[in-house]
Amino acid sequence: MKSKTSFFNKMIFWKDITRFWPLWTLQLMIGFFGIIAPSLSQLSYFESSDAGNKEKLYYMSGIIQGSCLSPYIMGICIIIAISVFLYLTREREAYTIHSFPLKRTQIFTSHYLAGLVMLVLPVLAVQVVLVLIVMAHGISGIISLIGIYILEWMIQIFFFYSLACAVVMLTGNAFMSLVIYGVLNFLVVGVAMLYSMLADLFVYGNQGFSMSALVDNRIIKVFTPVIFFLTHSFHRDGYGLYGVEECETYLDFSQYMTDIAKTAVYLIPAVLLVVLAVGLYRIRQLEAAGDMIAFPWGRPVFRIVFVFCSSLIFAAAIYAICFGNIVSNYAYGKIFRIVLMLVIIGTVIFYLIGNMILDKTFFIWKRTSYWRMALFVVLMVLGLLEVRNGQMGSHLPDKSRVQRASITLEYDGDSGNVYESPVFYLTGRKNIDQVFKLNKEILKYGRNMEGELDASSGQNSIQIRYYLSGGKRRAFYYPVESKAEVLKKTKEFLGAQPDVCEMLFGKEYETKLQKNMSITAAYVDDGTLEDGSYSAGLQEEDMQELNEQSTDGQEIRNELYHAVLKDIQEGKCDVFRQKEVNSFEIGLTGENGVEVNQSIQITEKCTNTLKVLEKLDCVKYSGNQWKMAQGIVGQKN
Amino acid sequence: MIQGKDICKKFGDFKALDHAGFHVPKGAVYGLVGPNGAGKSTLLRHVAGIFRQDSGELLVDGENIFENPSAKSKIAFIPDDIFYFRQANLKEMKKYYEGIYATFDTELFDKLLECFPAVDRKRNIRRMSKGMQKQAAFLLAISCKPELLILDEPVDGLDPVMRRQIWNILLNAVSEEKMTVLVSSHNLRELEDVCDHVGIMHKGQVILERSLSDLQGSVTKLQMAFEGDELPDITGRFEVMNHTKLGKVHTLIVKGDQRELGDYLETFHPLVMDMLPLTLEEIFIYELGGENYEVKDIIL
Repeated sequence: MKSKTSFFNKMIFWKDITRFWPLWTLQLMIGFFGIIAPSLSQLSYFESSDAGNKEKLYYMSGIIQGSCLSPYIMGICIIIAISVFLYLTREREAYTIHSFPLKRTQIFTSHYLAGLVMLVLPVLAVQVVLVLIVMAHGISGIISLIGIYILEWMIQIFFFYSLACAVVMLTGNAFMSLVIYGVLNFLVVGVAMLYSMLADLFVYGNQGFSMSALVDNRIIKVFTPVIFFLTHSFHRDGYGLYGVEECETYLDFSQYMTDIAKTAVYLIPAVLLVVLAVGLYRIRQLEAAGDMIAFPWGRPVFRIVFVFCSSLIFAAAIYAICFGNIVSNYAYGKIFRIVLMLVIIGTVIFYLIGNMILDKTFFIWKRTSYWRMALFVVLMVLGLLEVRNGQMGSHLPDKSRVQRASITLEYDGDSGNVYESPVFYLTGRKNIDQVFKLNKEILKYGRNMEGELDASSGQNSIQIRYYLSGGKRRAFYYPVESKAEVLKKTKEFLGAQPDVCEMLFGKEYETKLQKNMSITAAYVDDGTLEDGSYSAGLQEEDMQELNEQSTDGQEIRNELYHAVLKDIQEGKCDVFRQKEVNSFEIGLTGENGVEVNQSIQITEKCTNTLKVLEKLDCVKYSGNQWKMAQGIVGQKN
Repeated sequence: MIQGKDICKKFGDFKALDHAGFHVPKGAVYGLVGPNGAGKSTLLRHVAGIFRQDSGELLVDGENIFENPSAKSKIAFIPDDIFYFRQANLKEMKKYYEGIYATFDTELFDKLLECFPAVDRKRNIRRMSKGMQKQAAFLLAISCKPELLILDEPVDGLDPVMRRQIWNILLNAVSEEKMTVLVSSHNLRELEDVCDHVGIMHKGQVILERSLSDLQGSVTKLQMAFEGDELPDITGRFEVMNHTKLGKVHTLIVKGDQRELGDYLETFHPLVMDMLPLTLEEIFIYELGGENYEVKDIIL
């Protein structure tokens, strides 16, 4: 083991194993109390209660997959990596060890393997005991699952431990190792969250913050291994429990294997990380022991990541605490100015703190490069402006890829209730160009909006969707003031379209068949509800379905559809606005049901439609009035 | 044994070694002296293969030392701040060193242990006194049978008896095993007794390097008096490093050949002339005085 070519030193290896015995002992204890003891106890209970193998399998499959908990593996890997390489953070120890006749690769390999063994052996020991337990309880069929999860353990341990070792090589400080490791593991999801949270505050047209959407994002998932591992290896109890065959329940391991095999992809970055760690160790300057960052080039990287993340977190937190309840959510201009100011303050503060951390002193005033700090502030400001102006994140799609656009309007009804117009689809290059132009005007208007919009008192909005080649969609939601010029312009633009029916139902609207339709009676009462509360808006009755399952045939559906089209073409239906009068809502869908349900209000002017509705016994014409069950069409009760 | 040429090392903006060059002959006991922060420990760490120089050449027995296990296996290093594993006793440390150094001599270790009766092999080394820890370090290092022993402030913290004992063991090893010793210390009095070569470091450079006898022979302390008060001008022929006068007696520290200096001064017929040997400490002080490191007369 002492030859020139050796990459391993037995003495260093054993010293680590014996020196850090509390670490692997602790893991054994956790394994015993977290896996072995509960399994023994529950299986004994099943035995005493004469439960079948199915219950045992259900329980044990849960225990096995629950034991392979990625956050735990992630945590224990960094603890062990820091421990075995702790000497690199202490000058005295580092100098002594590196004065020995050993190559750095040899020292690294010996420590690395010692750490790996400390991680792997307790897992294997616990799983072997688990195998003995399941055999003793007659459910040997689950041993394969234990085998699969041992593989999963190994993959996760190898990946997280290699990442942890690479991180430890970057720093000369144990605490910093923890911080960098945590940051790297959650950097992508963290930055995405931060961006979404801030964009939600001041980016007009942003889609809002959604944690589940973030976690479901493929890129975020892949770059946040703990989430990836959790989603692919942790399933509900009884997952893969296949069924009963010849009175025996068995597990379908292929389901586990399919999922878990995906995690094996992380073996590639794990190998690369080990290579990186060895490389860093070889070029590492030992005098960096105790330094926050062990390499000179790492200092600016640390400073950039630290200042960028910290200043944004600072801005988001201070805004939420101090301004969240004062400033209207829709005063985008004002919000942006506040956030910008907070980010500038945060950048200055955290730039100085970053230097304090790097230099390990509070007195960094003379050493700080204020030019660099100013440059950083400028870059942050420019970045935020780019985000606000829609150049980063929520930017408009590439126009050439847009095949169709749609606009939906939302505005206050007559009594302040929100009314959502049908969806207006626009095709053709000229129309799409017009939508883009309109969209840019809306953005310009919204970015500087100082209005005090409040959802509780009714809200006006313009929703624009772009349907791109390849089946993708981009949607933008723009809240606007009720008297906003852009809202008026949008209505004018839509109203100027030569064929409203084509906008609503597509080019083939005249030949379309209606598979699904609905009729909803809407009425206006005196405003006093049964519970004593007051509401002057439109009240809707239960919806009547007209589809293939209902007794009404295709013929009557087509008749109703064409009557609605005729009323729209003759200008008897106001598709842009809902009147608060007794009326009907006719829901129309496309032939294949893919189209969005277009709801059209039928008032007393829509005689073509009312005649068809009379055939369906929804309304009766008498005395020059159309009478519905709830009152006279076109009037208030 | 050691050849260092133009060795440079920077820690950030600080130049720890600035074109340092030195030469340690095989079998020599080489004392590296210099003021605090001169770069002695840094230089020793380079020789021990801990640091890699930014530039320059450092060869031990003709081989580069950094990342060279075969060259490093001939070296044992005792730093000023010795490291032992937590909870480890001497027995365990010995086992560890056995696993690292192929040349570790267990018999020698046991023999040497008898010379250090105060060191309990079963006691946790970290709980031992600093002096005992030093003794343990010597035990382990000498048992590795190195060809080159590097010592950074080796006897700091040891009592006089133990110091003497350690130097004896060391000198014994030098004479028997032909071991080369590179030692840095502030205790110049002690170095004077054991070293045969001396290098003086200042501001990252080895400003003077000579055998001790050469060094002592090249600088002379003169006490003399003449009939008149004036001292004859000798600066044209010799370098006067220091000159003080008390009454009629002139005291001079002069660089140059002792015999030549004596012969020359005799021509001025001094009333009294004594040539005194200079201690290493005096040489150190006067040499560094010329490097702007003179002793300041501080009045509080």
